[in-house]
Amino acid sequence: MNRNREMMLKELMELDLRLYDLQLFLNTHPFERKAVDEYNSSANKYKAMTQHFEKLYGPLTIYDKDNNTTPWEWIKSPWPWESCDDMEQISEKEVEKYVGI
Amino acid sequence: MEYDKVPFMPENPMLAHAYVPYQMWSDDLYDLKTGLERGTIFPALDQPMYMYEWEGEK
Repeated sequence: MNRNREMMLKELMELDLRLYDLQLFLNTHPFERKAVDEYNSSANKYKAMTQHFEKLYGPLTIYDKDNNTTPWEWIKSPWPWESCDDMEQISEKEVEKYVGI
Repeated sequence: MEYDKVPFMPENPMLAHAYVPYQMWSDDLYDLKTGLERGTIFPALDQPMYMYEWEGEK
């Protein structure tokens, strides 16, 4: 699997955990200004990172605003079980082969 | 509930009741990597189970 892709996913997971933990804290400490600031700066990082990732490797979730491409964008990134070392970013040609169009 | 006035521990605790201290904000959050590894970004809440293991009668 693509090294950079894996590293970016890991970083997104780290940011996700941070956001969730701050969220839990803010549930019981809604007046804590520093936690709000920390949440927002992490949320911005998460957003920027997500956009960067999606530009490089395709959509992270199926619920994206733009699913309007042919071939269907979602099929281009590896399936969850295709996480081995030999996994490369699939080219559009290969997608056509797989999908049979 | 006035969230901005919660004390660390109740000011007038009652006998036979158990209380949980209210978490206070602290700036020493774990960095991103450590946070995911430890499962929390708050060092004060990083309390793995083995801390409570019974070490036998002393």
